Amino acid sequence: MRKILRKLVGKEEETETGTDGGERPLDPELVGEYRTVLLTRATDERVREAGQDGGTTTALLAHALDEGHVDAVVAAVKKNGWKPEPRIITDPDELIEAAGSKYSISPNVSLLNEALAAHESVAIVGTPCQITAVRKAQKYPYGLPDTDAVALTVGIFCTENFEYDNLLALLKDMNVDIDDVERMDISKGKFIVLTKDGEEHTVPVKELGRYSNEACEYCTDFTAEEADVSVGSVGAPDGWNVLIVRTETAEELVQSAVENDVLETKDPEEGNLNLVEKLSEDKKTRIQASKCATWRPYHPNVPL
Amino acid sequence: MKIAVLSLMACGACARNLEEACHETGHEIVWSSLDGDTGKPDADVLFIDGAVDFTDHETLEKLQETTSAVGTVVSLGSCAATGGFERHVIGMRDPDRYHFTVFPAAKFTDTDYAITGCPPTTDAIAAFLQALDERDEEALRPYKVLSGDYHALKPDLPAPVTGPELPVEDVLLTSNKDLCLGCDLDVIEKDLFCVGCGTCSTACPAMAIVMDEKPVIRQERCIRCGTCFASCPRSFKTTRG
Ligand SMILES: Cc1cc2nc3c(=O)[nH]c(=O)nc-3n(C[C@H](O)[C@H](O)[C@H](O)COP(=O)(O)OP(=O)(O)OC[C@H]3O[C@@H](n4cnc5c(N)ncnc54)[C@H](O)[C@@H]3O)c2cc1C
Ligand code: SF4
Ligand code: SF4
Ligand code: SF4
Repeated sequence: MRKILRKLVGKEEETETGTDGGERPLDPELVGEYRTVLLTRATDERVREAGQDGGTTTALLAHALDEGHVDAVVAAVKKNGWKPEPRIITDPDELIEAAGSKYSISPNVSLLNEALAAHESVAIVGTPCQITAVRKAQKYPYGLPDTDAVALTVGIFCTENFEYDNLLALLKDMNVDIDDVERMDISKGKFIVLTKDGEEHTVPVKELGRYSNEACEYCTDFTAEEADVSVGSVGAPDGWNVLIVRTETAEELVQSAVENDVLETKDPEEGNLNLVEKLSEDKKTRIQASKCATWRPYHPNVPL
Repeated sequence: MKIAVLSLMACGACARNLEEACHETGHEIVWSSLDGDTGKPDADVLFIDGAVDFTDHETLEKLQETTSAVGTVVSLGSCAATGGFERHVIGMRDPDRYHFTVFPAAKFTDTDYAITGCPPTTDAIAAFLQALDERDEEALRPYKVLSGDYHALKPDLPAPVTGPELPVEDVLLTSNKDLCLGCDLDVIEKDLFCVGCGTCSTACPAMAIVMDEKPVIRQERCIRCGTCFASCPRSFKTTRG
């Protein structure tokens, strides 16, 4: 495993000095700045089982807690009927409860103040918009003190999210009862719902627009470009994650997770990283088709 | 930098946080009305905190005299920038008579920057001081915008979208209404820009916002400070890094 890490780091250096004229695995224009890209999954089968894809997010956060890198993690747990709820977690084992993607809004940042008040150092996991919010709070801490104590931000890839009522409407239109849902996923261009009877129900992602949170139309960030580390599924083999490591802090943590056998890695060649670029690009162009094209903060042609 | 502080109708928390921030960042407060200083300050930056009763001519004159002497003027905190709780009593009571004559200090004088917050955190003031010291235009931009420089956003607009006072409704709900051109009211009125991150709720000093996917304002608690607006990732975009 270390060899792969080393190889990747080496590769990056080479490209930066341009010795072999080789390309970096992902275009920073599309996915943001980064140091390395890996394919990873949790070594612990229990975590993989509970996790959405490879369980990398859960394993990495648990490792950060175990190593004392952070004292608490703000994550989203699942309540009745798949309704997510943010929670401050300090016990690595409890992180399992937060594993798995919930396809409706979990205002994770809403617990940040509480977490920062009670803990010396905090990690937060969230959608790209939530990571942007944390970064803004760090740069402009109008009402939030001690934002420096956010020691780790883990972003999950995101195309869109749903208000809970709209998720229910979507499931209803798919003839699925929320209480029968075993698992939900956005994968290979489809929204896939696995029900407890083992059946799979699917809808093409293209048809999700009218159910999704409209705010998502104005979002251009697929990979959580401002996170310390971003985790997704697209482009990775089944049961694995794409991991975009962006900061030195995250790199050290990932490296230690690999060395401690918490994460296992695979050569990115075995994945299809072009897909990450494609979805990132789609999201950056989607905004131009959105209703309110003059919305300044995110409009590509109007700076603010 | 040499710093001056003019404290008007205010609780004093903003000035205290400023003192703390100056102490931390090594800037010196050379003139402070709280220490009995009067006349024209010899300073690089003047921070005004608090609101003004516009029937109080003495204070208005003092405000004019002080601001005219300093090159960079900053409204510090919501009372100075937007009116904050000085204009809107908490608890949804009808305003007392005096509220009709009280306005944010920024209403009566040109300000270059505004730091929203009730009070703005020491960290926020320190971040501002650093940006100002380094003349980091990008980092200063939001403070400039919040001080009411909405003209620059769309030069051909007949009137500013909002002045130094943020309209109450806009402060209350999801923010970006303020920066939006309003080309499609439907999009704005339904708060469709809100991603449901919860930042407004965690930043609110009055614990007035509960999250039910999107923010729900407990009007009885809201002090109209605008911290939610300023903190929202969608009120204005920040530069990376
Ligand atoms: C709404 C949504 C849309 C997504 N769309 C895509 C996509 O199009 N393509 C893609 O590759 N990946 C997408 N993902 C990410 C993907 O589902 C996995 O979260 C990611 O691959 C990490 O996998 P994992 O096995 O490491 O996650 P896990 O180990 O299971 O950890 C998932 C983490 O995500 C957090 N989380 C779960 N739901 C939410 C939520 N609603 N809000 C905030 N945090 C949450 C949990 O707290 C948990 O810590 C999406 C995720 C969400 C929530
Ligand atoms: S699409 Fe963007 S705005 Fe919507 S939930 Fe995902 S990151 Fe947030
Ligand atoms: S909701 Fe909170 S942050 Fe927003 S204006 Fe009211 S008191 Fe201030
Ligand atoms: S801070 Fe987040 S939750 Fe609050 S209004 Fe803005 S987008 Fe919505």
